[in-house]
Amino acid sequence: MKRRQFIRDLGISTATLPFLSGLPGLRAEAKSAGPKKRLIIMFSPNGTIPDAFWPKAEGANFDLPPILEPLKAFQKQMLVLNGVYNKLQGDGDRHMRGMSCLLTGAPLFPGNIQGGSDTPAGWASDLSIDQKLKNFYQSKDDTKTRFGSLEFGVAVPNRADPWTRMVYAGPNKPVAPIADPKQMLNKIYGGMKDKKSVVSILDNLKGDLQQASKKLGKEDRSLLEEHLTLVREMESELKQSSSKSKLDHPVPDIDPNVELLNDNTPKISRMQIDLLVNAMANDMTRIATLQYMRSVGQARMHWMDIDDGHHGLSHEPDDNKEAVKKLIKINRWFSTELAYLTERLQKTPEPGGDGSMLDHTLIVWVNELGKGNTHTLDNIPFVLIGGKNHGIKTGRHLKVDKAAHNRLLMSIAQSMDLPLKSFGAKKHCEGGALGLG
Amino acid sequence: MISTLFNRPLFIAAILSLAGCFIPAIQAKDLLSRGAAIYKKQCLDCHGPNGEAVEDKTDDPLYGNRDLTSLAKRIVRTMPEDEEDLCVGDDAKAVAAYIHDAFYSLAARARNTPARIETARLTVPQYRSSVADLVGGFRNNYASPLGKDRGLSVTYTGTPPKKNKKDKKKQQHIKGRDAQIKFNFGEQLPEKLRGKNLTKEKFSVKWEGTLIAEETGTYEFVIRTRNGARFYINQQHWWDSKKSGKAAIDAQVASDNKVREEKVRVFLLGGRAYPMALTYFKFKEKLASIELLWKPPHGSLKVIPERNLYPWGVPESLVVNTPFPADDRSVGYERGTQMSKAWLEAVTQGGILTANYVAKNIDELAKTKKDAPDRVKKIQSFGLAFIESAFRRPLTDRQRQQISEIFFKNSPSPEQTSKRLVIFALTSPRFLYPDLPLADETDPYRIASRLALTLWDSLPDKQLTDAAKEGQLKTAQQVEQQAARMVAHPRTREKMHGFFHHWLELDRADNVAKDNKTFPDYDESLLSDLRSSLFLFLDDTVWNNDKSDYRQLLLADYLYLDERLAKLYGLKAPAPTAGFQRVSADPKRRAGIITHPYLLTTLAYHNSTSPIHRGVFLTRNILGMSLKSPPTANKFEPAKFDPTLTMREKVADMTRSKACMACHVTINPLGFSLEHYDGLGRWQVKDHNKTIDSSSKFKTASGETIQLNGARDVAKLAADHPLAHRSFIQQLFHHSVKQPALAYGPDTMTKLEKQFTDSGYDIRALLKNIATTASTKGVPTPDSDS
Repeated sequence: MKRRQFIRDLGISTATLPFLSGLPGLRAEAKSAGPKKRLIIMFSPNGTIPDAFWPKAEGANFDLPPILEPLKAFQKQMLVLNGVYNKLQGDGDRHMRGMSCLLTGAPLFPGNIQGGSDTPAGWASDLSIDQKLKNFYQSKDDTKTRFGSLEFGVAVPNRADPWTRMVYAGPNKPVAPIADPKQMLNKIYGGMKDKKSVVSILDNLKGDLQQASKKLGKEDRSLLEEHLTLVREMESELKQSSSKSKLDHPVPDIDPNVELLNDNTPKISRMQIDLLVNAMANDMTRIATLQYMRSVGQARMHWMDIDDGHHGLSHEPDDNKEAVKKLIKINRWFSTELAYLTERLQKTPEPGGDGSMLDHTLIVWVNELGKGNTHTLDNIPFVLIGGKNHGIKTGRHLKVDKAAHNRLLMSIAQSMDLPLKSFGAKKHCEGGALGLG
Repeated sequence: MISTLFNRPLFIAAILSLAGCFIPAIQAKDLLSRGAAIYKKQCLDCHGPNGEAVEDKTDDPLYGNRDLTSLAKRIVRTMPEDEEDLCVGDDAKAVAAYIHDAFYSLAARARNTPARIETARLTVPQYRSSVADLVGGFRNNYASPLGKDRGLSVTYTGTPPKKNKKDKKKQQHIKGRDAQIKFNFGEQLPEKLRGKNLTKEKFSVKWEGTLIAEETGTYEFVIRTRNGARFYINQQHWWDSKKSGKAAIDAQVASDNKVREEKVRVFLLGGRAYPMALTYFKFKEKLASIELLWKPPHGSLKVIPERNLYPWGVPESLVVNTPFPADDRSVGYERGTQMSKAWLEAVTQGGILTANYVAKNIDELAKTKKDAPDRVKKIQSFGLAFIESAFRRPLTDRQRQQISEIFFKNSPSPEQTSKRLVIFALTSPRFLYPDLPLADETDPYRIASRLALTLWDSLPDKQLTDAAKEGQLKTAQQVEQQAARMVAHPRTREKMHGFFHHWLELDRADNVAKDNKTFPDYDESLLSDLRSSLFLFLDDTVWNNDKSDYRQLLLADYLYLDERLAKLYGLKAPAPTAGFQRVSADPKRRAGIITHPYLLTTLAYHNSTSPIHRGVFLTRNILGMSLKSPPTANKFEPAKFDPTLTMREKVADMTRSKACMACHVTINPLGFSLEHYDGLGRWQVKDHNKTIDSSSKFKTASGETIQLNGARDVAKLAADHPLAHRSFIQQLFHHSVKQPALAYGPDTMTKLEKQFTDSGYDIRALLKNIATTASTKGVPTPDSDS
């Protein structure tokens, strides 16, 4: 992205840059090479209900069981991937390994956090694939963005442990998702709002300075006069920049009164998705994660008349028909949110490019378990959507044979133009990236 | 003009009589005209009509602070150059009297270029403290006294072993106080949990209290642990993540039972208290250990010492960490007389930062609740009170109306109201220029504002504002009473720290490096500990004694040392765990600040002493004598001398020329007096195998020659000499008031000097008198009537 474009997107002129410090030192005049590629990884917890998730038919003409049904409009852009296993062993219970090894493909350090009767564990021992790609994208002028990556959360509790973190900037370096839309809005557009507040008081400030100046003798006046001149200068810079500035997409309206309560989750989810699509449309980042709750999360989805906690329900045996019904409902809710995200991307034309944003964005839906009541890390429900330019053949249900999920992570990296010989634990990388083309 | 003509002869008479030779006013006039004639003939060519120096002939203007006798002697000895016999005896006395009166002396200069109080904006430290206290003033228990106890409150929690899965035994909590956080529990339970039949597998500890930051700057906090821990700093609701956000350091998850270091850098304002907490737990790991360290500005990484910790909580403070351009220091002290774009941007950013902070904490600050029916009203009255505090005076009804017009009508939300209002208040000239003539000089709010700036670099507190409101700041006496109360407040200490920093040129410490071979004992932590030692001494002298005696700063025969320092400086070590303690020394070997190892270390070369640096420092800063800049720049290169020479011999040799000796006649004897202290300030008796001679003859500012036998004699000289007193008073005045002393009347200094002497050289009384003088300009005093 070009520096000038970046600044325009931000709605500020170069002259006021120090005023909104903290921007990365972007190199000027970078050339864009080829169409943009983006990646969104969406997480939902506690495993799936296999019968209600996996299509019966393989290949192009696959059926859509209840959990996938909300994604019907995108069947052609969708790859349902069966037979991928998280094969990482070692410390930590399976929820923990499911979560913290999910995007890292690396084992956990031994530690002081215990779940079930497994040995206690610490953080993941390596970085996650999104951060690997972020580092790669930030290292090149044509893919560098202001943030590099953004980590969104929905109803993620404010606690840091291996069940609650899937993004890692390095060994022992978990990255916390931002679950408060206000905080996220502030992170992305805060400087612009502050600028507005400043502009709104400038007339009063000028009046005050003039008035104070009058009370002073001639020799004392110069300091205030100089001050006033500088305020006028700042004003014209701010005005000039705001007349020039047009974001490709305006800053979304965020209702400041939505509190971070369990029952507001549906609203918060949509706010976060709107912000995510908006941030990508304005090219603030090309890589994002969207994490719903946490592994072992106990969200109570009252908005669908489910009063039980999600994790508790997921432990119920298969013959508890009531629980199964509820779990299908819960997972359908997640796929509905995924559908909303996909739709938003599809309806937004690619800024400065061809087709829709969805054509340039690969969405990967992930879970830390295959199935809740067995805690299996086998056959994790993976769905890939969009990314026309990512070299992944969609519109099919593909079965692979017990492939380690490290290989899927390598495929994702490859689709983002970063071929890797291995990622995470080497022994699980045999065979290389899964061929998804 | 009339008053000048009338006053001058009397003024001269006063000076002459001070110098010891009483001459009636009429004779003085004759002397002056005789001097003027000689000056015109013999001196003017090089020195210019008003002593301002003629380019290419003389470098420095003829200004200084010698008295008449000394000035005359110097003329006899050195002037005119190469014709020194031309102006001697009464001629020299006449010239001295003339130039002293016409332009040389401080009084003459004050008369020629009348000092005036310049319009000034807040300096950077004033801005930061004012914003912190402005917001803090709306919090409960802000800036309340901390009490005497030190260390942190602690709760140890242990669990009895489970007999079976269903067995739920109650946890045990043991409360107490820990001096610092530095524990290696190994495989054991903490001592306080032992012998209570608790499982060794898991336990937790919670430390909480208050941390005092000594200096303004960036602090690095470090947790070193094998287990889980979280550290909170300046987060008053640290236990409630909804209110305080996440921990400053979250090291809750322990990987591999290895010792990890987790760090955070935090900008803090000096002399202020911040709430802090550390929570820690061990769970099933083999080994347990935890340490909490910090690296303060100018310091080295160490366990946070007990003296910086208090076991009780305080409210958090808003710290504006926005970088600011440095204030102007060209006149010898920092003042806010420069305007720049960078400054305006910093002020704007500081305003934004504060506005966001206030909006986030609006319910606490406005003393309301999210769903209170009168919330909007409460927030509006908070807004008005905020502006009144920021502007340091009540708003008129019209102003209130204007503000509600601008900020309260059509506001999208109370948060938005408070944001705009805060940005407005903090960018307004009424906040940024604290002494605008918006009211006359006797206005009580203006007096209050001056007092607070002089003593605290901040805003008036509630008591002071109340005094202004109730008409208790009308007379000089009332102002003095307030000043006395304010001097005792801990905020004044921070201001004094700033003064010591300036007076003792502590900036030097930033560039200290020592040769490893010569000083194997030197490292960064030694320098940092010596700094602590110095400030413990300074604080103790100024604040902890009944008398806050300036002379004690120079004459004290003790140092504050810990075990390591005591050993290094050959003194009786305090108990190993006792930390810093007062340690007595041989009075012949230690005399207050001038022999303090920190200063001696900074005033030295990397592998030797430096009599010149030490001498110049003593001449200017301690004895208050002026020095001209060297006629030629000479670099002292010890290696170029005969290696068998002592440092003293080398310096004497290098500065022996007449041009050098004009100043080195003063510098060298003072510098040589400290030759018994090596580059780390340790007592030494030999230099290059020759016994050190620290004695010398010294010509005082009043012209008499005295014998100096080492450091204590220099200290005594400074403790007793009026010129040294004057210099101390003047430097403290400029540091506190940030305006020239003479702008407060030609007799300002004389009056302060007399008060200083009468009080027995009491520093706290001096501060009080300076603040009173600076705040009551224009207020009638009992003295001025007589």
